Amino acid sequence: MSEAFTREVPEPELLWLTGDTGNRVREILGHRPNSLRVRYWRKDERTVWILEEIGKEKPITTGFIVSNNQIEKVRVLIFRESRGWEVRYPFFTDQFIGRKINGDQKLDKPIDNITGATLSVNAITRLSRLALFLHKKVTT
Amino acid sequence: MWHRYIGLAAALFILYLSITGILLSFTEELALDEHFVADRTLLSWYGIQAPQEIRGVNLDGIWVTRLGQQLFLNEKSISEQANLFIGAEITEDTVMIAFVNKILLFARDGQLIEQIEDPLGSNTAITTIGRFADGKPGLSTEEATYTPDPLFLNWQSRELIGLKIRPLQPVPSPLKDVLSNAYMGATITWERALLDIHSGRLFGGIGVSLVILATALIIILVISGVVLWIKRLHSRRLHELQRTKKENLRTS
Repeated sequence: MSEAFTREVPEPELLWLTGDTGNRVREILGHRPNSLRVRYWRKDERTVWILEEIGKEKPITTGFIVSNNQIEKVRVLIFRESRGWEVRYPFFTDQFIGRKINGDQKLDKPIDNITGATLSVNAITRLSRLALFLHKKVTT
Repeated sequence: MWHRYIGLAAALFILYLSITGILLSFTEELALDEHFVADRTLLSWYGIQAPQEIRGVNLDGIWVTRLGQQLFLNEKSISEQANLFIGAEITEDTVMIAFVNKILLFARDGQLIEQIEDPLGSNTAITTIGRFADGKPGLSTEEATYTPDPLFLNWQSRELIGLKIRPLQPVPSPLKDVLSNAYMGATITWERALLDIHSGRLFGGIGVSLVILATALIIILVISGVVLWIKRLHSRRLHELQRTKKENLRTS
């Protein structure tokens, strides 16, 4: 949070993942949303999302800072799997900086895979698309 | 002759070790590490039995129950971190389940609304959950007690006095039977069971000793088999040499 908001951290807000929003989330993740709502923090046109998605067996908790409909920063907060830990490092997460989504909720540029960490890479890629979609949802 | 008898004695063990060994080689394909043993006889070898009494928190007919490492909301398993479970409470439309470091909010129909990590901030450990006389839920830490706003976005400090904690009660049937089966059927994977059968550990010290003995017999069989084969080869060559000599003598 301190990386995203230099002064005061804003109060959290809630976005309900039901109805049409829930359907879009299902399309992005490939499954129903894990929860009915998600918490986020917003100041002006910048939002922060802490999202989770299962890599192979365990959830990967990832933080996203989104502004002007682009990813500003990605940080893997908790990695629970025994393999695929390479996704925590900047050489991988920096690929997401500046990424946007198109009308099909896909990233505007592909993300390079890491051999042996495909499932983790895919999970974080899905989460990045989700963060961008949710950001658009709350700022438009 | 003794090689034959050892072979006969070891045949059953060889079959036993081969079958379990082959199955273990296909652990991933058969998903043996994802399927759990449900057979009560096999589970009883591990000392796993159906619990006599199951106790849970009764939230106006919605039960939150801890069994082993699993936490259940009615019959649905919702967490494998039951060791961190503190308690549960209910508001008009939300079931709150508190752990040491997070709370889970469920709708009354069992749908997860939200998982809130570190709800009180600063990694403060939750020690108690309860309800006040005015119906509002409360979370306590070692330092203070807090009550949430209706959306669980913010927490307000409040006096601990008057916070009532729900006691554990015996879970009634048929839920008790469902939970019992779920608990028993989610403890030992088939991979674990096969490894223990293969190594003989399932049957204790005697089982391990028998497997070691069988393995020793197999080693003896291999060595004796090779020795016998070399002897026969040597004897066959000697016999051929002698026959060739005899034929040479006859012709000369």
